[in-house]
Amino acid sequence: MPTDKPVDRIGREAGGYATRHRELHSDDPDFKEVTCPDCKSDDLEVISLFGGATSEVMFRCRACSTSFNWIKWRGKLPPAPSVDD
Amino acid sequence: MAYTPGNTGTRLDENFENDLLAIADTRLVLGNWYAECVMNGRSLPDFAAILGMCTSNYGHTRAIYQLLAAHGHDYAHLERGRDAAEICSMNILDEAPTGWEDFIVSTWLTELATWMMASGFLKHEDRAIAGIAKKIGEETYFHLKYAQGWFQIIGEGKKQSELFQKSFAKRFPLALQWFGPATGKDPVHEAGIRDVPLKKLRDAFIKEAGTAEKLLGAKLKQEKSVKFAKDWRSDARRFGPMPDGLFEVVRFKDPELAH
Repeated sequence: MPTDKPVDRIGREAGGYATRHRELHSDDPDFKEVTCPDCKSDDLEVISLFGGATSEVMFRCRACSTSFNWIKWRGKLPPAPSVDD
Repeated sequence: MAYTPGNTGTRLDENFENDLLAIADTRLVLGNWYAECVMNGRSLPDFAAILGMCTSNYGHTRAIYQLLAAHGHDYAHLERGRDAAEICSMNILDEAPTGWEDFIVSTWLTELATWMMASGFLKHEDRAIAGIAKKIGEETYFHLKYAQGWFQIIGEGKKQSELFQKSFAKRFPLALQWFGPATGKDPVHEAGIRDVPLKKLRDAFIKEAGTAEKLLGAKLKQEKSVKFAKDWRSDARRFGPMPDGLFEVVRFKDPELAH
């Protein structure tokens, strides 16, 4: 079905789009409470919003280089109106 | 048998069933979009994200089909027995994406619109229905987050931003149309099944879609009224049948494979 014609790429540092995504998502307040399971550091970066399973976010600890998955679903829902609004 | 909440075997309200099927079928087609487009991802994390969103959407479809099957429908017919005219997917997905920006716009608007519709059942008295709505929300939360990351990256390129704006102007009315006429009746709400009226969900969809402007850093043209021609099928929430080309992609091929 869909194929994509060549497009002008946005200039990127090494790592390209994946690096930019990592920068954008690593400061996400939703991940504020996450800590490294090995060294307990909170100096983390998001490698991928979707890890080995749909339910996981993949992190890397900047302090000890451990990579780990974190179960993402914590009951947070996108904005929606309620009866009381 | 008249419907009683939580009592499988009783029939659901017909209009309510139509809304559930519209969500399920749209998420089925959306799942197929993801499956078809995964190799157009820009990085391996994109591949992982698109495949993850694909399986989530298939899961939502399956859960709703199973719910409908518990209330008198034939699961096999729902899943693989219907023709193009019977599949109630959103018109926004009829035309394949023309590029990456169009893919992001189309999938994001579809995720957002179907979530809004599902959110109207979050407080449903049947826990199975409320649970499906909640699960759709929990998963969509991260699908939208993924799209929002891309808004910012696309917004860093002038040409990419323009493509996004162009795609939004074309696709947004198709998502808005899915909610039906702004002044239309909402029999599901009137029957006490959907606690939030459709108009409120539609308005919330418009408002939420507008928040992309900030992340993109560019204005988006939002048509707030959509024309409804005579062939609008309110029960299917779409105009006309699914195009043949799309049906060929989404239809189940198991009878052919069996031979």
